[in-house]
Amino acid sequence: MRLLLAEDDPDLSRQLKNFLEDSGYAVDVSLNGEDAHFLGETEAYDAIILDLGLPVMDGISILKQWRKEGVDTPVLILTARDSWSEKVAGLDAGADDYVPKPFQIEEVLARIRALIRRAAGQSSAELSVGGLTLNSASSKVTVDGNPIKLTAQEYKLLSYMMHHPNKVISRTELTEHIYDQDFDRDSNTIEVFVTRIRKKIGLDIIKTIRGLGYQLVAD
Amino acid sequence: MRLVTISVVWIALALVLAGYLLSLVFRDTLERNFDQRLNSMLDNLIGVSSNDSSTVINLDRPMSDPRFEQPYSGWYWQISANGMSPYRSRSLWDVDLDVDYSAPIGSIIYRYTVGPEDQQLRIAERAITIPGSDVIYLFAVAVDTAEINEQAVRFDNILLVGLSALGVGLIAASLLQVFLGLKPLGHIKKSLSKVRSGEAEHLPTDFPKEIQPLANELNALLDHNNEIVMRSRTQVGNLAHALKTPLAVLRNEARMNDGPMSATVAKQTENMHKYVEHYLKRARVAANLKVISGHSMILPSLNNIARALNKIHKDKIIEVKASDDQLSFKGDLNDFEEMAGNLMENAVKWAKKNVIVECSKKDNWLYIEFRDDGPGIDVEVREAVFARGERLDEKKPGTGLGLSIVKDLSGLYGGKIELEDNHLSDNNSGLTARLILPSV
Repeated sequence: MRLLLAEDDPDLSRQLKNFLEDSGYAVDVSLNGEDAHFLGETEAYDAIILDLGLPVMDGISILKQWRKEGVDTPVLILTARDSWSEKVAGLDAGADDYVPKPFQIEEVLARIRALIRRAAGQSSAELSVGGLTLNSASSKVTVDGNPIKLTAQEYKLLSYMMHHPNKVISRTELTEHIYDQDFDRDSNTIEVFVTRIRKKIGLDIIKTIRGLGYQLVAD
Repeated sequence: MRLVTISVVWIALALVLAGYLLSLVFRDTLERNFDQRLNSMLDNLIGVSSNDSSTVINLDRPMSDPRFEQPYSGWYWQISANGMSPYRSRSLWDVDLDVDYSAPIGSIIYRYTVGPEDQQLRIAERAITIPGSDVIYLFAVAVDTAEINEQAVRFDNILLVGLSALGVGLIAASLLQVFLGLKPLGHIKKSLSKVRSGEAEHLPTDFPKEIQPLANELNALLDHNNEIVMRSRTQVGNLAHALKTPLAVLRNEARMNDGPMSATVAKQTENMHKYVEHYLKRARVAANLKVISGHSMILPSLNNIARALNKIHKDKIIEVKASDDQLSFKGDLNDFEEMAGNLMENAVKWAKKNVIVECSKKDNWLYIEFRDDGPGIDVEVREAVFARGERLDEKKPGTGLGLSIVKDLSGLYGGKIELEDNHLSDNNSGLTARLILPSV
C-alpha cells in the first residue's frame, strides 16, 4: 500500500512518514501544494493525506483539480482551522474524511486504513480469502488461525492483493503500490516476494497469469 | 432640563427688562405731552393776564377750561409775586400752590408738588416781569397727575398682559424647540441601546439632516470597533491555529518515546492543546456577543454538515427536519456550526443507522434535537461527558473536547445543552442531545 503525504511542516511529515512506514505503508512526502498535485495526478496511490494549508497551492484547490482530472484516490484532509465550513468545503471538494489538528498519529492511521478498506469495498478491518486472513488494523496475517511471519515488503504486497481479490495485478502495479518513489525499483524482486509468500502461507491461491501478472483467487 | 431652565430664565429676564424700559419710555412720553399742555396753558394764562395797576394783576378773560373754576378739580393756576397774596384760580379755593420764588426769570420749570387734598400735581412755573413794572410775577399752572398715573398704569397693565403672553409663548416655543431638537438624540440613544443589546448592527439612516452626520460618525465608530474586534479575533485564531502543528509534533514525538520526560511532555502538550481550544473559542464568542449581533440561518448549515458527514459515513442516514426553513440563530454562524457540527458528528459516530436532526422554535428559543439510535449514554455519566478532555470510549477517535465546547459556547449565548434518552427511536435506544439557543 502506497500513500502520498502532503504536509508542509517538516517535523510533522517526518513523524507521520515514520509512523506510517512502520505500519506497513510506502510513503511519498510532498512539502508543497504544486508538488503534491503533480504526484497525486501522476503516481498510483492507495490513499492521500492532504494538509489544507499547503504553500504554493492550497489543499482545496488541489483536491478540486484532482477530482476534475479523474483522480479518485481516497483523500484524508488535515485541517488546522477546524471550522465546520472548512470541513464542509473540503468534503465538498472531494475529500473522503478529515482529521483536525492537532491529532494523535494513530488516528490518522486508523482513518487511512478505513479509507483504503472502504475504497476496496471492504467494511471490516479483517480481510479473508480462503483460510488466509489479514487484519489491517493489527497488521497480522494468519492461515487457519496460525500466525504467519512476513517481512514488511511481503506484507505490503499481500495486503494490496488482499484488498483487490480476483483482480489481475501487473508487476508494475504491485511495484508502484509497495515502494515509494525514491526506491530503486526492480520488478524482478516482485517475483521473489510472491514465491516467498506462497511458500509461507502454503496455500495455492496466488495464480501467475502469464504475460499479465498475478491474481489472488478468492472462491 | 438645563436647556429649558436657561431659556426660561433668559426669556423672563429679557421680558422684565423690556417691560421696565417700555414703561419708563411711555411714562416719559406722557410727561412730555403733559408738560406741553401745561406749557400752553401757562402761555394762555400769561396771555390773558394784564396788570391794571402796578401791583394787581387781572385776567382779561377767564381760562378756557371750565375745570379751573371747579373747586379742587385738580386744574389750577396761580399768579404770585413776592410780598403779596397770590392771585389764583377758583378751583384752588382757599389753598395756595407751593411755588418756588427762586426760579430764574424767563425759563419754565416743571416739577411735582402736592396740592389740595394731597393731590399729586405737576406744576409749570415761569417767572416774568411785566413791562412797566419791576415786580417779578410767578405764573404757575398745575394739573393733577392722576391722569398720567392712570394712563401709565393702564399701559403697564396692557404691557404686563402682552409681555406675559409673549413670555408664555416664547417659553412654550423654546420647550418645543428643545423637545423637537432633542428628540432625534433620544432616537439615537434608543438605537444605540439596540446595537448594544444586539438587535441591530448599525444606527438607522433616517435621522433629520442636522443629526445624520452624528449618526454616520457613530456608525463609522461601530464599524471601526467591529473591525478591531475582528482583527484581534483573527489574530487570536491565527496564533491558536499556528500553535496546533507544533503541538501535534511535540505530542506525537513524546508519545513515540518512553521515559518520564516524554510522559511529562505528552501530558503538558495535551493540556496546552485544551487551553488553546478552550480560550480560542471563548475569546471568539465573548467578542462576538459584545459587539456583533448575529443573524444566522441554521437550516443551510445543518444541511451542509449533514451532507459532509454523510460523505464520510455513507452507511448512515442523516435526516434534517425543521418546523420553518427560516429559523435563525441570534449569534455567529461559525459558533452555531461549531456546536451543531460537534453534536451531529457525535450522533453520526455512535448511531447504528439513523440520525434525525429536528429544529423548532418556541418563544424566543431555538430547540435543535440531535437523535441517534446508538447505544446512548448512562444517566450517571452524562455529566462527565461535558468535562474537558473526557472521553467515555477511548477506542473511538476524538479529542474529548466536543461536548465541553458545545456546553461553553451555548452557555455564553445564554442557551444550554441537554442529554436524554432517545425514546423516539425504533428500538428505544440512543441519545437525544437538545441544543437550546436564542432565536432571532
